[in-house]
Amino acid sequence: MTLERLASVDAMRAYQREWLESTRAHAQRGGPFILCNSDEFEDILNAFEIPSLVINYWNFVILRSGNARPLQRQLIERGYPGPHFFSLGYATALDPAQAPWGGLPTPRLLVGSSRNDYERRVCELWAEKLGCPLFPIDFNFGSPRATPLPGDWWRTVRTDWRALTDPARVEGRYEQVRAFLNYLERDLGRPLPIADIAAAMERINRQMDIWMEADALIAGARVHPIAFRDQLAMYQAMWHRGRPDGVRLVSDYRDEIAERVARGVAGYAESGLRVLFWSVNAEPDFHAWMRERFGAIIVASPYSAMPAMYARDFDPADPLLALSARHTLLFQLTPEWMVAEAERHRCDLIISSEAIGDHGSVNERAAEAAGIPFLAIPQGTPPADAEQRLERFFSERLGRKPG
Amino acid sequence: MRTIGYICDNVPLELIEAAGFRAHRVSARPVATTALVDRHVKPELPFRAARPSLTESILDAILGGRVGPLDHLVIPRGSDPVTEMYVELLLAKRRSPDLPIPTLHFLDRNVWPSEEARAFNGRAIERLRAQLETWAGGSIDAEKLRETIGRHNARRARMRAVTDERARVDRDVAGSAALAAYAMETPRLPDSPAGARRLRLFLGGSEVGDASIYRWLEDHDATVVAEDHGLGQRLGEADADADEEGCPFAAIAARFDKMPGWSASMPLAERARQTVRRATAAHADAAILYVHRHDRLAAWEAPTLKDALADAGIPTLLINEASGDPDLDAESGAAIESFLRENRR
Repeated sequence: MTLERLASVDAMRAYQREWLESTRAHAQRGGPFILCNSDEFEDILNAFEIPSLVINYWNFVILRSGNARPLQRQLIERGYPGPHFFSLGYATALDPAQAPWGGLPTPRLLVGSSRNDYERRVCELWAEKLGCPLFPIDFNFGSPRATPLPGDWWRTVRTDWRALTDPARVEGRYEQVRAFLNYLERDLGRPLPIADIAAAMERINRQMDIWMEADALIAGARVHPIAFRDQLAMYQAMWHRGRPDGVRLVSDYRDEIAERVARGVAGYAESGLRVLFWSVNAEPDFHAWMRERFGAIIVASPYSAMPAMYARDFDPADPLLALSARHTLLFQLTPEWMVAEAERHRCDLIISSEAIGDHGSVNERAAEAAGIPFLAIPQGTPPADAEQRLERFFSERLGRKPG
Repeated sequence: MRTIGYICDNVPLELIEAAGFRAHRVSARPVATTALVDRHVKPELPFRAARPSLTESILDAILGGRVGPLDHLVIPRGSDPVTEMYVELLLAKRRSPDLPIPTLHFLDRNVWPSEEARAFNGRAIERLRAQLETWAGGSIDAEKLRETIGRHNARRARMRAVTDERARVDRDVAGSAALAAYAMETPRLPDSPAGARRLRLFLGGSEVGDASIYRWLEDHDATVVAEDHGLGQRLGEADADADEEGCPFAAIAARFDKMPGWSASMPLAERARQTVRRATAAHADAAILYVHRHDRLAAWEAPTLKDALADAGIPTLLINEASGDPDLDAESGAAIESFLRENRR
């Protein structure tokens, strides 16, 4: 069955296509264009309407173009073992003929990544290949942590981020962000006032609040109003956070969700078991199978609550401090957060894309303690194996028969 | 005397010893099975990426108390698997309070050279100093620190003499003997025969936990004359200048800023320059870049290093996805044997 897309999600997708095309045209005319790793600096680039492309977004575009395989082969031939998702963009610089639109225009610079050793080296190689400078800003939220997080971190991350972040790293990040901002001002030959960043952060908070209103409507709806595919597609509004268009796009989404909830419009023909898919990966192949066979639908994932993780209370005179702190702590997939999300979305079960061990994971223990059945299906499990695991779980653990 | 364990090769031992502690490097022979990690760490981190066998084995050894009696343990920001040990050990301790995990200190580091990084790394050393003083129950004396800096500089000078001896083409120094020498309090090589001519190799790629691969190569009529890992010649490089800014504490901070953990120099071009410098200074005939499975840092450095070595006229074998176990896997062994034969011709 073909699912009809929400009009607001379609509008988001169309907007993104137009934005990509106009950004590309701008760069080809010689305008400044920056390649940026996600959650590193794009809020500031958006604040000043400096065109930028988020690396992992570009990687997804490559993946969807269907050319990932030859690019991966190219990397392996050059001696780089996989997995290769983050390095797909670099691979297109090696072989632009395999890239969507014949490759990216040469960026003014590349910012990021400090998430891990691998991404840092990929960005170095990429910047060298493109012939542009690289500015890795250390202490990304994905970097190995200097402190463990308390279980209920997400409850206070917006308001009490100081207590949750490592002060030394926030200070270090803040100094690097300020230095990079100064560099950009010189490089672009234009002032980048702090007041404009504060205004953008105000818009980010508004955008995320509206987005979470939409999610609250989804979570509380009697009939689940949206396909998981559309929830994920709407995430593209994140690349425009803090821009007036970003606020408008999620407002339209929230309004359409509200209207569908009021009319009782369903996202799927099937209804029955509600699933939290605990993974930051794309919609799993087994979802359609699970819907049709057991009427089990994915209603939420970590992306559902992610907008709330981008909002921060901040001092308007110095918004960079809160922003730098957010760079060091955006989210972490803790079991307490998982259970809270499952309960908020009234889920009947949780499926996590984690590895299976002999000792029961902290997620499994937390879910079972909360009375929520839990199943691990590791990322990369072949579809037939995943379906077999699901079949057994639904029949033996949940007592469900295929319907 | 109380003992502070440390991982990696960039923790300032001078500071630890000036605080009155014995410094003990924590390492482990890579093993294939790490049952304690499986039991106490992996369940706490369900999305944990797979790790190279060396760091996993070190973590397992710490969890099992097999690293000697330690009062405290300093974990620096090194490669990701090293850095992550800090939070992993805290989580394991929370899950299983009876595990023999010593009190920990995380020595953070900004890895990309810049003014801001230098300031950050200086503050990290200040925090280490404060932690050591708390553990010691008293402040670290500047004169005592000058003394330990002097002692370590002298030890490094002796290590450099070992490195120089290995570089002589009229000597046949076993790489395994050199590794043993670097680990000595007073580094010294046994007498080596003159004139013998085994194939001279540079070894790069992943970190090693012991001299197994050195001995394997020696059994195949080759010897490692230079390397790039944390048990080798790197230990003798870069002295601390005790008069840096007139302050021995500043000297420690400056050296720490310059010294990445586990050879992970930034930027990559610098790493390539160092690699070529070490290989050419040692008159290496050929190079092997031996990259262990799940070692993504080494894997994404190796092709650049291979190209740089080729530009310097040094034929290089790159082995990816090696098991990392002390007993060389059959595929790696066959590839190396073939490479050695080729280069002997």
